[in-house]
Amino acid sequence: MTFQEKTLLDLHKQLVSEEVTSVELTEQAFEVIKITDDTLNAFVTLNKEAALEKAAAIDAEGIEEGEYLKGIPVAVKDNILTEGLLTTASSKMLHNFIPIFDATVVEKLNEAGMIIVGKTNLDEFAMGNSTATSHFGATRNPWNPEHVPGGSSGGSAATVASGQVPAALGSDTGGSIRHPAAYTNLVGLKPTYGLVSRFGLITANSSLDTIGPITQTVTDTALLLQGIVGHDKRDMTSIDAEVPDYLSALDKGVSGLTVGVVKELQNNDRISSDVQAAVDNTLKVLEEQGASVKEISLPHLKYAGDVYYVINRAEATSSMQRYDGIRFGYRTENYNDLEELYVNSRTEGLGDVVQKRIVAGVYTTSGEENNTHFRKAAKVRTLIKEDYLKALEEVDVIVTPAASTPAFAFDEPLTDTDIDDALTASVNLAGLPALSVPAGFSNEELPVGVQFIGNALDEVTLLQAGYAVEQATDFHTKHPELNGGN
Amino acid sequence: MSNETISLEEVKRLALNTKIGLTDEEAEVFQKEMSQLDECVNRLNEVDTAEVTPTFFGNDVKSVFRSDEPKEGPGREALFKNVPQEATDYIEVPVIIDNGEEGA
Repeated sequence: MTFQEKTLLDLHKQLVSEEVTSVELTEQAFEVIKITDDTLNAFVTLNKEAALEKAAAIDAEGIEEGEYLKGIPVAVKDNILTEGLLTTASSKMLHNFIPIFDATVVEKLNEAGMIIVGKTNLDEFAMGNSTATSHFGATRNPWNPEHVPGGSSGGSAATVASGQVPAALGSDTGGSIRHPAAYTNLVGLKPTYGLVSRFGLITANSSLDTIGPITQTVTDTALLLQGIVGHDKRDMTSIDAEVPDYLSALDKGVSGLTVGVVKELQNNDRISSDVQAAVDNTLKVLEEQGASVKEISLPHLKYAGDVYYVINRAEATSSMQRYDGIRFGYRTENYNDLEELYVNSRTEGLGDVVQKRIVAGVYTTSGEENNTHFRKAAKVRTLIKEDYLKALEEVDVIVTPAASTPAFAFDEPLTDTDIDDALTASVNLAGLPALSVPAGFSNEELPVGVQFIGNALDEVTLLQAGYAVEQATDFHTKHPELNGGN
Repeated sequence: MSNETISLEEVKRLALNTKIGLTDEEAEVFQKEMSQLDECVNRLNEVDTAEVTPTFFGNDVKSVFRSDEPKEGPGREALFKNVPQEATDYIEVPVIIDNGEEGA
């Protein structure tokens, strides 16, 4: 038996009524992983012994109604620090790195009583859209192993979609939660920048990175989000705001809600017809339930891909400077002096994509290019953000595709990411929240997702809209067959 | 701006600035990445940003300071856990001076 169709809420009820124990759920997770992970490669590291020990302690303690996350297995993306448990960011550079403290979100999961079963695979240092650039091999899409699970949180998406675990944490810098969720028929939330602490997240792009849930249903995303939000003094970007009760707000409906469609994305030949049909259907469902649809304009959206490209490289350079082979991580054996130690450790320890971004980033931030490239991009970023804020004065939520196509095949990599960056990275550039929800299937039976974008700290409205669509459709009830033999 | 904007030698020099060594073949691939950046910027130059303030952060949170109080650190044993090479309680690194007299 897998966790497919077992929501966090279902599992919570079963745990409270003692139909199952946390140890049984944890053993089940490792059993499904054992059967399916040779094919999927969703995990870099498993945490079996500690997980079973913790589950036994939780069972001994007992689980009260309302302790929603307690005793339930969860997976954590391997760029989020876990004390005493290998954390690699899927890089050779950190192949032996054992953190000496927990990320704040991990502390929170532990305090809530969740059982961390392991660390999921990603594109090296979260730089990619396929989870194919991992030093530990690619993760495969449970819907079709010839296709990517998306990236960079591909391991977190594959493990939930295949029913290995019921929920996972990912990180999203330019779409890295929402793309994989869309590619695997899951719900993924990129929260407002600063809502969830990034303390202990291995930085890719500090001004864009966020941590968020990947789950099977909108309700589960609300529950997991509730478990990880909150102000954190250890993250200076953390927002000190009152946290709403996400679960109780879910079923308020969408009557009276104004939904924005983006003028600049209409009749766009770079959005596949399957995806466009899913967006159109979502709008129809929302209208049937009393929402009204209004066209809005994001005139600078077409520059989002370029802005992201420049800022992403610049910030990558800065984030990656710490990996020098001295105090932690990979150290070369080939060196005669300090310069060689630095250069050879970094050149041998970092993959091609990461190196390329670092070097490109130096170019955009040094000399004259700092002005012509980096600052220019940062200025257009302001305009993209202003476009969103203006549009969100007219509408409550904006609906777009979560990705321009269904999951692509490993042998047909998506080289032009401009449209996908416009769809998702633009939201990171603006610091806003966005939710990806299952919305249909392609002719090849691959899942397709839509994205809801909202005002800062208005996750509630996104979850309400997502929930309304989910309850009126049955896409989320479909699961891939590669599931460990139900 | 075109592919020739930045020479292969310049690509290698920039890479070494960030402590990454490139072969000639790699430098050519990386050169393309940089000309792609130039193309991005060419398109961005369509936008008049003369009066626009740049956005460098994800939100408007201002720099914050923690209170300046002494507290326990993680301890040296923990801090040394991930050190790749250590010798008698120190992190081992190559000698960076010749003889203590010149170029130190």
